[in-house]
Amino acid sequence: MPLVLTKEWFESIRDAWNSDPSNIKSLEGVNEKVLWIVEELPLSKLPPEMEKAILEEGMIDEALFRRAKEKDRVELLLEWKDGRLVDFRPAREGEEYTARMRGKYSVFERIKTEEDFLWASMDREIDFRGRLFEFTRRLDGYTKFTLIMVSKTDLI
Amino acid sequence: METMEERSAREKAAWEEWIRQMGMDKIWERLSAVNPFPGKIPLSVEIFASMPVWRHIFRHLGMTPERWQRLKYENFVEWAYRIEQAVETCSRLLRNPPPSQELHHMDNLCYLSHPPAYLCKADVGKTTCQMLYGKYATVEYVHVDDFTREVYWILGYHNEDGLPVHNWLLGASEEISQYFDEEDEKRFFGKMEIWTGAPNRRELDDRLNRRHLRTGVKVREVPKYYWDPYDWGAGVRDVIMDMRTELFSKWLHATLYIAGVSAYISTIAQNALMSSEFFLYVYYGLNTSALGLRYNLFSYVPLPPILRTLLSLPQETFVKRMSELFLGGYNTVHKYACPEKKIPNLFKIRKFQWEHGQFYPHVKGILPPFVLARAIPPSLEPIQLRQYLETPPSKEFLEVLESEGGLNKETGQMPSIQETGRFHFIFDPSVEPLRPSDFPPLDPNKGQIWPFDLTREKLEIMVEEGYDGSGRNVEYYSKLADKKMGKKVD
Repeated sequence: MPLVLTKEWFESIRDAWNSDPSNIKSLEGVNEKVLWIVEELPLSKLPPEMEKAILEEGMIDEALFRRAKEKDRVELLLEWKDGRLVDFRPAREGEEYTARMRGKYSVFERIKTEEDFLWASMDREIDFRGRLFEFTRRLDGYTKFTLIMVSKTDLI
Repeated sequence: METMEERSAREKAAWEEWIRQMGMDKIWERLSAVNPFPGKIPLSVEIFASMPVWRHIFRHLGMTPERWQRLKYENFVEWAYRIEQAVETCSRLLRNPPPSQELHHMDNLCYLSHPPAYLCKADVGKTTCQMLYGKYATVEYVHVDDFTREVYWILGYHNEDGLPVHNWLLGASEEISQYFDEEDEKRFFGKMEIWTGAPNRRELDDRLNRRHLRTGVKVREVPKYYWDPYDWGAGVRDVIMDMRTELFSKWLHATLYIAGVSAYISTIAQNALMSSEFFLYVYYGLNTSALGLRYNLFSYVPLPPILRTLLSLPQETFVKRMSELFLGGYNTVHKYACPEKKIPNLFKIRKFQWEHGQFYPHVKGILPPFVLARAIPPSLEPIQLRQYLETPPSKEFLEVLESEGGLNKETGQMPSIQETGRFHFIFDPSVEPLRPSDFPPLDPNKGQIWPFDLTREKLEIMVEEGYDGSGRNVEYYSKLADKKMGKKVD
């Protein structure tokens, strides 16, 4: 069963982040809301019967799923408080944030190190908007989050 | 009153603090593929935040300590042979002026050396060189290692009536002279008609240890004590003046100019793919507020007054005027004076640029000169759009400037990289980049020349009509294409 955008997916990523002290330490003292936009999630490749099953079982918010599929992107909102991921959910329309990250799923999938994250950002494969000073100090945390997000995502 | 040394120390400390505050040190730490000396922060490290293709080029080359030394040699030797080629080209053209259809032929263009990083016509070069430096000038280029902050070569030329007539290699560290081949030794050790060098490697290296009479600082170590390229120039000029009296006395009547530059900046400037791109770099190098830098990337000591005037122009006007002035409104794809065997790394750079374009990976393809002239850089400080554009942006360009650059349409202000994290240049999206496959094949030792207003359509027509990029009859083919495109032609 695919594991993306489901309630279980959001929870498992949040738990994975908060259960590892090194993650929290990487964003120690950080209080920020990041709009994390993931594009080209291969939702369209889901067989129709599987899509039907997911929606019928109520694992996923139907409107969110349909919007993500139609726009080929999903907007996620992450809120860190002193390094803990206190909120991770679909972003609401017009919601405020302090920094924004946007990239294709395949690019996030490729990230293995902070160096990869930096090159992808400087090359605009991941489009970062926010304060440079904060970005450079949070690279470790952003990389760790990306690794968790990708490892917890199952699209087939 | 604060001495120059005290001021330099203060500015260096302020820069280091600024780099830390921005987190540029954290960025550099993670760009290990670009850094031959992990753990060391080079001069002008901020450049790597705004020059995307150069990050990729240096990664492509693989920056080991050995590669760094080799690259410094290649930069030096190409520089030296460009000057030699210019002396020969000017002398040939003075004897046999070219017919009008050959005026812009690539064989008749040379690096007339102010500095030898962009091509120009010999006759225009002669006049502009006089305008820039005066009737007689000796210009010595002082090159500094970005990591050690040591001077590693001083090489220049003497101009009479605006034309280079003699080359003078004053000093070269053993780090680069270790690579000299037989051909180099012939030129740099001893004295030829158009070359003055030193008897051997040791002497070339020793000259960099000459001390300033007042400060006692060795020429080699001046950049360790003095802050930016202007100060380096001021720090070494007296010593070079004395050495000229001893070693180059024939040319004592000329004004002595010193130009200071670091290895990274010199490599970037020397290897600009096109002339318009180089003029853009000149604008940024001497007018660094355009990139939000707080020091200069390149210096002339003294600064020729006309440059100060030109630099007060908007970027677009500057690039256009320089292209008009030096190349009659054309744009060259630069050529190398040395063969691939001597400068294999520079050839790799050219191949990479030609295949990927000047602003890869943000733009895939070669940007036409008139689009480059209107580039809006990522800047470390807030900028004002009027500094860059001569005419208002198109609707599409304006939209991108707003959405990607955060342009305030009311004031023309754009926020800095520090506020937005924007690392990329913004270009007019309504003009399509050129594809290398649209051009005739490029010979890096020959280069090519094209009109400044080149578009994909114009390029296609010119090639279809038989233009080969060499410059022969370029005006005819350019006008023919304009006519076919329905443009009004004189």
